Amino acid sequence: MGLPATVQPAVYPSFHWPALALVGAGLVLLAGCATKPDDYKAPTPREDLAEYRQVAVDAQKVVKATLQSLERTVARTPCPPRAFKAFTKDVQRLEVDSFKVRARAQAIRTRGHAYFEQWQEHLASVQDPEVRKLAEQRRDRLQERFAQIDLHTQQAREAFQPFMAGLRRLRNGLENDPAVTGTDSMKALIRTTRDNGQKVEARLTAILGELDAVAAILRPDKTAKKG
Amino acid sequence: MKPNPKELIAPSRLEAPATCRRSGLSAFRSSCQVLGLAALAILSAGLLCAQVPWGYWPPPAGPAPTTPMAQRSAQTTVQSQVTWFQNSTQTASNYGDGGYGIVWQQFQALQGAFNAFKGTLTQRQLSAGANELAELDAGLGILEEAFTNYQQDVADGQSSTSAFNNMCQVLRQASGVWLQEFNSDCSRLQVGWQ
Repeated sequence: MGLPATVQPAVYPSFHWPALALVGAGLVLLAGCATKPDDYKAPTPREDLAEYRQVAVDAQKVVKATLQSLERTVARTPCPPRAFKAFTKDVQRLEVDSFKVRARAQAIRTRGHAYFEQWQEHLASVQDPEVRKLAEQRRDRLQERFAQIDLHTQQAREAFQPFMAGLRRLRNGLENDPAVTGTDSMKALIRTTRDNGQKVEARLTAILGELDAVAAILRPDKTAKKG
Repeated sequence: MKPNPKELIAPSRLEAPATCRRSGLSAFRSSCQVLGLAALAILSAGLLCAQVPWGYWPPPAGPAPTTPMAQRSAQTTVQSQVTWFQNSTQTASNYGDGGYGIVWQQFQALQGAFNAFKGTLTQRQLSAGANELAELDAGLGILEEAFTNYQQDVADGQSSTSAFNNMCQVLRQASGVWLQEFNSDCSRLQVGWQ
């Protein structure tokens, strides 16, 4: 009596052996190519000074544009619908275009000294050996400037919040009543908002000045070289 | 009718067919092949182990794996979540009062995805990218402020439709800026690189 088909022993063709050997050899070779987590290259440090400069310049532009928009909007009472529409757009643009600088200001506040320690670390790993040397030699001067950048950034952040809140309140008021800018309370709000906007602008200018000062500290002294 | 006793005998005790009988050698060959396959499995496991630090499947509970594959997957999840979040800001107004909840839910999902992403970074990446990650965290905090601003605007007398549209537009554009930063930071921190 024969076995049912399901229990019939399988016939293994003999050509499997060389194939298996080849696969095995391939796997052994591939294992040699495997990488370990320690083999990763170090992450690329970012150009802190240049990037913060760009972010501050962009923020300064949009703050300036919003202040100009504010002046145009309150110049006439009642506010023309076209001016109101443009003002609404400009307020929205400020919220978006100031996003990066606000995120940086918040991160600096959260990380405190560690934020600028990382800048110092990045300076210690730049390619230019002269800049690396200067960053080490003039560490104290750099730390002073970093502390000023921290201070101005926090001042800009503190002024930005009431500036933005004032703009939004003005926009909401104008939406309900285009002649609201004629009231005393709204006039006071416009004045405070303008002041806060100018403070933000001034702090951003101060940040840019400090960033320039840092760049000057890291610039090789040409006169010393000549001597 | 009694069954034929021959039919009650287990198949293994039945006379083997000719093909089996001549295969003492065949059985030996089969077991060698099984051994060969086992050796291959061990080699494959060794290969996998070299690339996947957490070992064999399933990964242990606890800290998320920090492998390139896990990082890439978490990065893609964050990117997709930003897209879904942006889509929700575009479609939410169709859901009436429920729209706010939908956008808020998607935002929370984005926060969750970003936290999970951070869990896949190596100590080295966390340390080298501490400033960038703090900025991304702060960015999410700023996006969250837009929800508070919406409530404040409505309380100040702005129509809820107009306030909601403003909020959605700001969130959509600002999350785009956040995503750009996220992508550039991922590239700098070599997220998902071998």
